[in-house]
Parts: sequence; structure tokens; C-alpha cells
Amino acid sequence: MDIQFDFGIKNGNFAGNFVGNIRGSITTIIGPSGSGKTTFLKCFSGDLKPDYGYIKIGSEILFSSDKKIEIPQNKRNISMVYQNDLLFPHMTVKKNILYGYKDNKESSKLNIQQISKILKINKLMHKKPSELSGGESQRVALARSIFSNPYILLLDEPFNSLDVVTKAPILFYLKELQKLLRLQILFVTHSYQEMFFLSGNSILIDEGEIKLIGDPHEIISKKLKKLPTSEINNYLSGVVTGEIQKEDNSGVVSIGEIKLVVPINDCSLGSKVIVQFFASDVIISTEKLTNVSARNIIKGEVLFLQEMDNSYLLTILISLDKKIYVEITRYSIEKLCINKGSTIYALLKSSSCRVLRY
Amino acid sequence: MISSSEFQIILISLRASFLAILIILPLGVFVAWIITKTHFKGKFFLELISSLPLALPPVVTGYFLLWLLGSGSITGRYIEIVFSDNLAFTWISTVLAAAVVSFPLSVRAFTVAFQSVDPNLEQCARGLGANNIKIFFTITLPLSLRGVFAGLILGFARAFSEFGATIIVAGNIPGETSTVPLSIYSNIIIGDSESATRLILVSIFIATITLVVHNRLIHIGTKQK
Repeated sequence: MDIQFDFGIKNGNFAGNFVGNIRGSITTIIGPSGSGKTTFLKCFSGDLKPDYGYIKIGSEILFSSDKKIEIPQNKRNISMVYQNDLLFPHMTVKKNILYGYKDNKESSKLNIQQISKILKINKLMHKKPSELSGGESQRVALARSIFSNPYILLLDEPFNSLDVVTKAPILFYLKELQKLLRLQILFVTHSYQEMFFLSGNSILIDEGEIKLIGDPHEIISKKLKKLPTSEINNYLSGVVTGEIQKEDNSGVVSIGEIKLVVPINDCSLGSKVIVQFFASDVIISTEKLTNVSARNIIKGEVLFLQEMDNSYLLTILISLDKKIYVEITRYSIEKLCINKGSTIYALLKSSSCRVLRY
Repeated sequence: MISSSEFQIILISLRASFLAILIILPLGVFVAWIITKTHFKGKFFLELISSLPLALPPVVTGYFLLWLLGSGSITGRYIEIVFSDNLAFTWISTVLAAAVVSFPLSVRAFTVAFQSVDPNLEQCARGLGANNIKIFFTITLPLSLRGVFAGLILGFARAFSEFGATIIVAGNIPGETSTVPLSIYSNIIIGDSESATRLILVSIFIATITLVVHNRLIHIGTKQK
């Protein structure tokens, strides 16, 4: 649905004015802390009320100061997953996730069993929130929001407190659920990683204003100093298909047609995994090398070339629908004459990869 | 040993106190909910009126009640039509006096209990489509149940010890409105110190039990947080 807005809000010391138009299934909202991302999101959920302006979703007006319209929070059909999971402590997981569930025709597309399985919470149903780990709690909170069958799902840095091992699978589940249920998602983050992983469309917010709406490459080109230039991660989901070599504990993970030799830990043959490596750990070559120590050589095509603070971020298409991000220096770009469209070989050491259980 | 008439006095007091908290429960919970969860002009007056009996001399509260129940007022005349009787100086007026005087104490406890519930949880429930009634019964009340119960027990203790308002609006009619405190008073006046002592011991026993239960509830409540 098309989301249009033009509103202003004062909240304590913060003053913001947001104008824009959002389309597309997943939109990430990125900006430094204190820039107004959460305030922006809370005006959609109804947690906060703008001082003036309007918010329109499709043809429905959520808020309009001119027309004196303010749809109450419980009638908006917009659900939010907060930074803190906010699970109801006196209810079991099952009661929590079904709290907003309405037994009607529209909700029939929500297959409770299937979604619970995707989020891996189907075995937690009878537990109380106090018995859950951080990752489990956020997965339950996500399920609870999804089961309320919202038009729009808002996520306010929900996985902030989680480590990569816990977070990466949830990001995959979220993407999977988005496709399955055709959810429209607004996802607040301050991490370039999550922005790149999740969205084709992104909003940059700073100092209470929308500075840019565009794809992640345009956002990163803004070189916003206040944002921590956290290293950009690559996440690729695949299946363990190859023999596990006992001596160095490595195995083969198939990601579509691409096969990577990675440290396999205790994952068994056939299990679904996520391979993670940093964009800066990849070496680029313009010709196919044969005598190298790196065990993975992936052929690809440069899709984008984006200048960052001291380096370049390359987006490389490695198969029909798989991309990886590679960070290299300006010197290398010039020396190797890499341009958009160049064919390159990405060299990846097995030991630079981490395998996470999916 | 406790005589049969003393036993009857204790029953009258227990009946008044139990029925008083039965009245306080829905009404007090509703008022406490309005005080903690809503914003409107004039809320101050509601807070003032609901806690006034805490600060007023109970005799004054009793006087107002007497006026409200008596045939001199509109409410009194209306009550006479409905019940075909005047309720002042009946056992019902002991219940009303106990309820009105204990009301502010319970409401205060309910208010504190409701305030201790994380408003973000209620907000979150609202975002999941819950209206005020659903939020109250599924989130606010279950999470403050101990505090509400503690407030009722406190109300019970206060109702059991009620004297000033009761003597004005209910009198001290043996077998009808003679509660434990009223009987202790009259026993002392007429010099029946043995009966007075027995009733005093009963009062101390009931007060101790209620306060122990109350404190345990509060203690468990804070321990769990």
C-alpha cells in the first residue's frame, strides 16, 4: 500500500517534520540514535500523536489535523514490535501470540502452525516469557504482531540486543514471512547491515527530517558521519551438502549452485544454515587464480560501486538472485580498473566464514 | 467465653465489613482506573471526593450519610420509594457507613497497584487491537491482582474498625446495628469491662490477621518484581 505523510511532532526536546511517500514491501528506516526514527514510527502506530499534518495509508486517513481525524490506536490495524519485547508476563507464549488474533475470514491466511514453525517457536507454546531467551522472546513478539493480521508491521530496532548468531536467522525468518504473507514492513535500524540485508527501499532520517528516500546504495553514499560504519555483513542461506572433513572441521554448504567450503562446526549433513562473512574479508581478483590458499572462489558481476568513507562498497551478483557485498580500497579499484559490469572473482577464506544454524 | 450476644455483635461487624468490600470492589476499581488511566478536566474533583472520607472526621461523613439516607433529601425520598422504608438506623446503614469510610483507603491501594503495571504493556495491547475493557481485564487487572486484593483487605480492616460514621447513621441498636467497636464503647460506658475486654481481644485478633495477610501480599508483590 502507498503510505503518504506530511506531519510534524514535538516530543520533549525533540522536534521533527516528516514529509514523504513510501511504497514497497520492506522499507528500512535508518539514522543515528536520537534522529527521530522511533518517533516517526510511533506516529504510524498511534503511540504518539503528531501536532499537525496528515498520515494516509492507501485511501484511508489515519491522522489529519485539518480534518480532525485521528483513528484510535486499537483500530489502526498496524502492529509494532518494540525494542523491548513487551511480552505479557502473566500469559504463556501461546496466549501471547494469540492476543491480537481475530478469528475471521481475513485471518484465515495466517496458518498458526506454519508461522510458528518458521519462527521456531512451536515448541515454546506452554512456556512463560520469563523462561525464554532474548532471541526467543523477540521471535514470540514478532509472531504476536503478525497474528494480529496488521496492514503494516512496524519494527523498532527489535533485534538490537541480540548477537549476530541469534539475530541473523531471525532476519531470514522475517524475510521469509514477508514473502509468504505479503506483509508491508517498516523496519527501523541504525545498522547498514540490516538495511542492506532487508530492503530494496530505505529512508534516511537525521535531525528530525527525512533526508533521503532511496535504495541502500544511495543512502550509504550520503556518508552520514554520525552513523557507526559498522562492518557490512554478508548473509547467505544454504544447506550443508558436502562431506565434513574431520581434520579441520570444514564442510560444503550449497547456496543455490554455489558451493562454499566453510567451517561446519557441529551442523549435520542436510541441515539449513546461514553463512556469514564480512564484506571486508573478501579479496577481489579480475582473473581466475589457480594457486591460492583461499578455498572459495566465486565468479560474479559488479552491480554497484559505491564510495564510502575510505573505501568502496561493491555489490556483486553471484547468481541469479544472490548478491554479496565486498569492501575494498580506492587504490584497488583504480589498480584493477573495476567498473560497474566488470566480471570479477571473489576470494573467500574458509576461516573468514561463520556458519549459523538456521 | 464469648456469649451469644457478643457472637451476634461480631457477626454484625463481619457482615458489614464483607458487604462493604463487596461494594468497594467494583466501584473502587472503576474509580482507581479512571484516576490512573484517563485524562480529563475535573479529574481532580473525582480524586478529591473519593479521598475526602479519609481526611474528614468520620462523624462528619456519618452526618452526610444520614442526610443522604434521611427523608429530608432527594436520595432519601427515592430510597424510601424503592425500599418502602428508611434505611438509616438499619443494618444496611452499617454496611454503607463502613463502605464509604473504607473506600478511599482501598482506592489508594488500587491506584498504586494499577500504576505499577508497565504502561508500555497496555500500549502494546492497544496496538494489537485491544480496547480499554479488554486491556483492563487481560493486562491491567491480572498484573495488579495482588495489589487489588491487598487494597480490599485494608478496606476490610478499616471497615471492621469503623465507629464514628456508624454511630451517627446507624445508631447503636443491639442485634441490628451494634458493631464490635460500638459495643466496646457502650460496654465501657456501662462498666461491663469483661465483655469489653473480650470484644477488644476479638478486634485485635481480626486486625492482626488482616494486616499479616495484607503485608504478605505486598511483600510477595515486591519480591516478584
